[in-house]
Amino acid sequence: MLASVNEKLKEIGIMRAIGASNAQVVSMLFFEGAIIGIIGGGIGFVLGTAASSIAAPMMVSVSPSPMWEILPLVAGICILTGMVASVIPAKRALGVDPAEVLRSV
Amino acid sequence: MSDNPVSDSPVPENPVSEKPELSVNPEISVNPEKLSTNLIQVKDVTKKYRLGHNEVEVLHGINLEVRDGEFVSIMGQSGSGKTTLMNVIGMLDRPSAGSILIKDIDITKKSQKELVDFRRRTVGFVFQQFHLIPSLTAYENVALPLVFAGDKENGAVESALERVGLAHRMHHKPVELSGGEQQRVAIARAVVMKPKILLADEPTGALDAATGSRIISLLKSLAGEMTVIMVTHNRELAEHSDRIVYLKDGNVAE
Repeated sequence: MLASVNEKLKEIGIMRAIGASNAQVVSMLFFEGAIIGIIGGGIGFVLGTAASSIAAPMMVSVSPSPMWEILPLVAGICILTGMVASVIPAKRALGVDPAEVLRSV
Repeated sequence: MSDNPVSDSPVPENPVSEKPELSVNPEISVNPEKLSTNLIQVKDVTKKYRLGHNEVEVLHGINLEVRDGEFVSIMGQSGSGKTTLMNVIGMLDRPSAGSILIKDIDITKKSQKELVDFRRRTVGFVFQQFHLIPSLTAYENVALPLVFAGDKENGAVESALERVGLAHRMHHKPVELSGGEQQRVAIARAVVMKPKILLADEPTGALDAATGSRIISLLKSLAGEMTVIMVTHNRELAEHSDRIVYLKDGNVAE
């Protein structure tokens, strides 16, 4: 995890050295967060649906089916969660001194 | 970091076909008209860093002038302030005192936003460890400065990669390239915006001698159309430049 954070900080340092603005760095991190959120949500949906279709009939005599109508809302929540989770890394990225990061790698 | 040079022997092609001669060349290979003005003026620049509770002064009132199109090498022992001076000229680091004039404009007084634009359009950086983004192809790495600047590519990326002899490797990721090829991609990235100044920090430090010579030849071929400042430990390579500036303990000892 630490290696991953250091690698990301290095990339941010490089990007800022070659002309990325703070807004562009933050946008990239938010975009990444949104992608991770939607992928996590998708995996959760598939696993949750599979688990409930196996477990629910054992406990109650119903066969649950996915509520497709709330899928857009769930997707939105996943994206938002991913973006919110990017706030702290984004704040840290803005504090990155490119010269210092590039010196240390 | 340079103790483990990256061999470049498998690279079959050579963008700079003739092997450079490692000798002092007193001839300045640029148009003299281009050398008539000082592009860069470093005036009384001091740089201090805070190390815990202590403050360390790395540069002590440096004065330096570099002409338009000149190829200058900065030499000095480890800790002499070479990289710090280069970072300050490229405004990756702000000086603690003094001024840096680029075309008579003091860039130390510019806002953060203006400095982003300065780094995009006026300077290109080449680093010892290449610093390419590993998940991107050579083409995408070279295109990054254009993307950040919001400029259209208009063949600039292909042209920059052709310039360094790597057009045929544009779809390869850094891990698929040799050390010398990665450094050439980094040079293409540094020149894709056609900057006035190219700053190279130990560009051959992670390469073997033969590959390093080819990189120096490439930098030399760029001097004239842009000002090249190279930090190096290697005197033999530095002698390819128009002028060598020595730094000792944060002072110029030219």
